[in-house]
Amino acid sequence: MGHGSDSDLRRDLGVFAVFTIASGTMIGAGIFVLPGPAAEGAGPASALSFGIAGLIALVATMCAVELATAMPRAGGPYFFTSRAMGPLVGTVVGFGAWLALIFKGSFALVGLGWYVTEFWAVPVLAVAVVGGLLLTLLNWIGAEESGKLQNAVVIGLVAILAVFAGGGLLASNTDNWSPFVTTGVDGVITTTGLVFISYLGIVKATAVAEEVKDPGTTLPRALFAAVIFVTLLYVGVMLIVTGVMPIADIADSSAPVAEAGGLFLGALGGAVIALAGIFATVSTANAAVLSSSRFPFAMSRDGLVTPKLSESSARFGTPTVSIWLTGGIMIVLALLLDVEMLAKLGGTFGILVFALLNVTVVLLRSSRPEWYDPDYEVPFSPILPLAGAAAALLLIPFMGLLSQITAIGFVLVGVGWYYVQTRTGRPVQPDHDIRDQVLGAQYQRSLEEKRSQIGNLTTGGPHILVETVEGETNPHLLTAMRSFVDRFDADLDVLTVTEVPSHVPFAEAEHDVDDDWMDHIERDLALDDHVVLFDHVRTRDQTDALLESVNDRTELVLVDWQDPIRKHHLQESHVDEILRSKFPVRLAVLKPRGTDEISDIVVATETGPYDQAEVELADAVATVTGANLTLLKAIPEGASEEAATSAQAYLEDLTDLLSSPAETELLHAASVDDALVRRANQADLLVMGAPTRPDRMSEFFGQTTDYVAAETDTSVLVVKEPGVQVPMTRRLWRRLRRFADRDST
Amino acid sequence: MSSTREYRVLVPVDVLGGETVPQTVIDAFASVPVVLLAYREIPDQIGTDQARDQYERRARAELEELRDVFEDAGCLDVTTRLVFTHDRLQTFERVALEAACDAVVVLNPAPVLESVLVALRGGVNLEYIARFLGVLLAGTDLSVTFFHVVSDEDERDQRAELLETAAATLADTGVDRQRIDTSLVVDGSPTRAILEAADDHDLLVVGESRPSVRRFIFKDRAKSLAKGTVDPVLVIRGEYLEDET
Repeated sequence: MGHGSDSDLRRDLGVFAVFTIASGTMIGAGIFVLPGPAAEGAGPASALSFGIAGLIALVATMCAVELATAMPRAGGPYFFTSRAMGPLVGTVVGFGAWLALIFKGSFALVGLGWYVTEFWAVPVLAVAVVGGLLLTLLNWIGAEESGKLQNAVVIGLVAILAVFAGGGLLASNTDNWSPFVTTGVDGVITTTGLVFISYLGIVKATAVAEEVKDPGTTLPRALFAAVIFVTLLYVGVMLIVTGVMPIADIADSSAPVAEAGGLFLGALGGAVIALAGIFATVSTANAAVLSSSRFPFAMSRDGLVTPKLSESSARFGTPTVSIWLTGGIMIVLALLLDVEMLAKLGGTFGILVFALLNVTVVLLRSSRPEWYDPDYEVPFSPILPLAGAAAALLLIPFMGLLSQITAIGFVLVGVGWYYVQTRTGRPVQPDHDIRDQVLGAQYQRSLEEKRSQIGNLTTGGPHILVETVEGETNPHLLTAMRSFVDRFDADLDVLTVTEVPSHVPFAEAEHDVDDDWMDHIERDLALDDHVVLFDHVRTRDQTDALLESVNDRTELVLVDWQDPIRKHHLQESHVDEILRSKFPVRLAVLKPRGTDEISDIVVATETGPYDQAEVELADAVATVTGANLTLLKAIPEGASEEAATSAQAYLEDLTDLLSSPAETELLHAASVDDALVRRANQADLLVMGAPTRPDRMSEFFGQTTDYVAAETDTSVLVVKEPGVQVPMTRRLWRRLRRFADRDST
Repeated sequence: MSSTREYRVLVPVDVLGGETVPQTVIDAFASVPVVLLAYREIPDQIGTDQARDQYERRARAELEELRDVFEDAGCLDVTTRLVFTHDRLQTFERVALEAACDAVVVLNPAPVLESVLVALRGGVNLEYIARFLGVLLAGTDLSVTFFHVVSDEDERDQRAELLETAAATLADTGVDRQRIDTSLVVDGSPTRAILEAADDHDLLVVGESRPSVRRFIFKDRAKSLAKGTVDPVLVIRGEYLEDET
């Protein structure tokens, strides 16, 4: 007995541990490198820029936390968005998050050069290149220290920045803060975009969700505290830098935090801060290389990139390709672009990712798919997440032309990649896309409208799940729906299914909602106390989809039998699969044939405990239609007198279960099946049971159910109690065949 | 007596790294339930899920083979686990707790396995360790030496009593008294003394003194014990740990 799914994680991270990790993802190169360009861009008001960027990050963090508690799998932004909006958006976000990280790493490499020049007169770019190469190499050979480095550095940095903030507040000259806003609102907003990169990474911290004790409370507390703490720290540092140095000096300095520190902490203090700057930039650049394989890995699982990218090599056990690819691009970018440009590019991609996360929450909230049950919910949704997304996206126009062109070009490339990949590669995951969420949101909205119209209506009661197709709905089906709603005091879930062959991507399976059809059903049923909820799914397997739609409120599943019936064997049809599947609830399959009023119902009984379902459902229809109800039992010709008497007694017993009056009838016939068919043809509806446990013999020779249902001209309702199911071999065969289908495409 | 109790032993094996379990060790532990933990320590640059995707099939095959070997040796209760981890010691500790293992075997090659050295630290857990050994030794003809190091002569008498208690408890479980020996040494460095004594034996048994397998095996003295000897080491977890889980 192997424990195959050993997750290798344990839930033991508390608030403080998560707070440290989350702060660590943010504190790094940004605050050490950006004060210079920021002060130049907005003067002392650049502190405000850090504050605004922090607010936007906080909202995005809220959304990320909600998603992480709903999908507590180490996933990150790619996983969240692709599960909600499908692989196309997922592709864009996955590459976007990866690129944002690369830009940030590259930005940190140049920053490293700046801080190293505080100590030695060497060319900045040479330091960036050498540093980048060294980091890539260390990560490639899997040096243990490369991972441990991060934690130690973060604690050191926080301590040093705290000393800086403490000492600096006293030393600040308030005269330097006026004028506070030097470049107007535009300058502040532009600077907000510039410093945004300092907050990237916080979303990554949600990846620890799996290891957190009680994530519903721990994650939000720790992460929000981290964002707020880091924001205040940044604001404080920025105020101090602008408080102790004139703007012109800051702008000229390559290591402004160190120089500012030198002014009030002495030369040694300045040197310590410069050293901290080196550690900060190294740790940020290292983080980019260290986690570089996570993005291609998540995407390769879904078939969006080749797994070769993230595979670990035999030599050092590290993902060679992704490490060198990431490191290489970082170095090239460091050579090509200046710090401001790198910060803006990284910020732009970060903004795209953050904004899409916010939108994801809004979408999932309004469509509320079954699996979406977050432990933490963003307050004031959808206003807050939408405002967050809007605020983030509004920064993009201030990011400079290059960033905008790159962002647009990148989205186009991502979309192109997706289409090429879906045409040539393996099938991609997930199966659904944004349209399903939008559709879900539509259904959810119509449900809420109905709720508000009808007032005290709740949908918490029993439900009847009806599977049918759009278009003309047979009156017998409508009658059955109404009857069962009355009988079970239940609401209706009307499900339509589009089965998509495995070689066709889901995105291509078009489906338009037929509003007329829905209106028709609602009007025809004219239910006063109950609602009809419509849903549509696209699926690879119709039976699985139906099964998945059954939930604990489902009382009964009613299936509209659309397939043509081939005599003697229903095998392989949808209805056959349904009757053979293990449904946890009572199942009724209706083959509607007539359009007349139902005025005569016959119930074919077997002697057994399962008859109750047939009788009860037949009774439900009879109650609504006022039809005559006849309980029928067919016995072979020449059966003993005794057999006839006990059969008659059994039928009498059954009538006691009914609320409407019923007749009983014994059929003596040479062929029980033919007799049933003949009798059924005189009625409008035949109700019969399906064996709960089909045995091998009847499976081979064809069952009464198949034969009678196929031969008769009237509508047939086949009823089955929940029960144990189906020969294993058949199910196995079905699975194998489906696999074969998949592989051949 | 509580000898009917089952003592479960965790055997971590780096199967992908080519580590094997010596046949002598397999035979020695065939009488108790065993949890085989196939582990692979991976660098921080890849995630555990990534490693699992890539290596699980191979590791699982190796693990199943190893399980067969244990079962062939007569071990009736073998469970297996497979983990990819960034920190193997943390993982050993976690799995030992989760799988309710009473001891962890640190593997080393053991060409012959005839004599066992049990290093006692003090009175804590002494009876527990002795009873555990009783179960382990049932059906083998291993000889046992209880070993204790004191720092100066004054403590000698008091500690000799300790060793006698241990020997008596073990004998009570049905192990022939002839197979049990005791040894008391005066030495300023217990670690060195234990290591020297271990040279003459084939399996080193140590009790865990602090509530952490990890700290015991690999930090301070214990670390040098496990690393300094060429014998397999059996670390017996403290009974008081049960409450923690």
